[in-house]
Amino acid sequence: MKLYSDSFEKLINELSRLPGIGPKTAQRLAFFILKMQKEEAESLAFAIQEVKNKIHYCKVCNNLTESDICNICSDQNRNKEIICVVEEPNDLIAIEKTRGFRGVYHILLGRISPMDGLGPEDIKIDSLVGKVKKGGIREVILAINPNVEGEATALYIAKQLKPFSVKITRLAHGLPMGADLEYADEVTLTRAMEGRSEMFST
Amino acid sequence: MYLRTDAIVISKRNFRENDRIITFYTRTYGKLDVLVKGIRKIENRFGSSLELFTYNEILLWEKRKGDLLILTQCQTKESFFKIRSDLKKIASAFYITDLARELTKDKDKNIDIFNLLFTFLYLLEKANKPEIIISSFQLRLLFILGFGPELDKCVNCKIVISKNIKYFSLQFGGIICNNCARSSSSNISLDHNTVMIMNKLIYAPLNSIENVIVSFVALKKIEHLFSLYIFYHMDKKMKSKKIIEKLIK
Ligand SMILES: [Zn+2]
Ligand SMILES: [Zn+2]
Repeated sequence: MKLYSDSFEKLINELSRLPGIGPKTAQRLAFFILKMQKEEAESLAFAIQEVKNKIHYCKVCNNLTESDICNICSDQNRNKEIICVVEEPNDLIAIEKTRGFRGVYHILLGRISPMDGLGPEDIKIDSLVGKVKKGGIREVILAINPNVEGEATALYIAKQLKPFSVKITRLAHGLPMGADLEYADEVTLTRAMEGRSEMFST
Repeated sequence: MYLRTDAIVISKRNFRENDRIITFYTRTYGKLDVLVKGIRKIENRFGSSLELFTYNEILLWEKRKGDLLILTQCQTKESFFKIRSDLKKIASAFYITDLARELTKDKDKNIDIFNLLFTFLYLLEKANKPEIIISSFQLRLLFILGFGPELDKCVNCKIVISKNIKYFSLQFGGIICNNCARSSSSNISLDHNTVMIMNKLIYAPLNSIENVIVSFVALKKIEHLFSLYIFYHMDKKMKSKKIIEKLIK
């Protein structure tokens, strides 16, 4: 026996593809949409379409943009000699919020993770190597997540960039603000010790 | 009910907004999927103790029999963090943990697999030739799983072949004499020297595996045989293999 009409069932199925949405939540959302004003629902559908039609990846750095080249890459005031490499557009946003970085970015759109079928060719490493090869880059900062997949990604990139005369750096790993030294694990502590910095440095 | 055991992280995947499902290979219960709540928040109390390859003592909560297990406590005993500073070693560790994940069944207790995994992560941390370590791991794993190939005498007629080895029969699961080879449908060529190396990789004492002399060509041959073998007998294909080869290169 069929519980719902075809179109309603289809909506539930589509919604349940979203991350974190199980069948029950999908059902609740579908009912909500059903009860919405027609204009509201159409505006939601339109927003989804617009995002898919207008937003694409920046040709230079793979950031999300509505033009060919993103705001950051086309900004004359940003230092194009320093590239900060991140995994996802969200990471770029996090770093931009600090307002402390004035270089440009390169977004990998993923990380190396063999268990998930993601190898070096499945993320944007080649284009990064291409940029460095062309010259004019002084420093590449690897701002990749400090987990095993991130380490593999960083080490692989470093290996590819080694033949070129470019400075390769990575973010210091350390204790998060508010952390308790006593409860920090061995890896975090070791890294924090390695990445210690001088106080009152001149 | 609470379960306490030692466990190695062999795989992880994100789940819902802030959670993750970790696959452990445990000492007491075999391979287990465990839900870890809140792990993706930066202030989570598990820190990096649940990274891939880490060896932990864990406490799990099982509400009712068959429910998804929930992690309640975790104490890292060994993080194998020297593996993480070397691309070849990370790739090798990816491979052996993936083998342990792919070739074993859920909740199928096998302490030998646990020990093998632990020992080989330990060896990898100190290894100079990770490629030999993983080759040895995969052969030893086959024997523990009860799929070990016959490498001493003809798998069919049990005659001792000694130096005249020419073929390995996938169908029968071992080396095969020229006579029997005619009635076996799936032979691949394998020479005496490679079989000797395989035996050494299987039986060498743990602290001298890296002393086994293996040429690059022989390693490739063993790799190839292994892939065909697990596909034929266990219906398994290591999808991560190609990627791992790229990282090791
Ligand atoms: Zn851009
Ligand atoms: Zn025979």
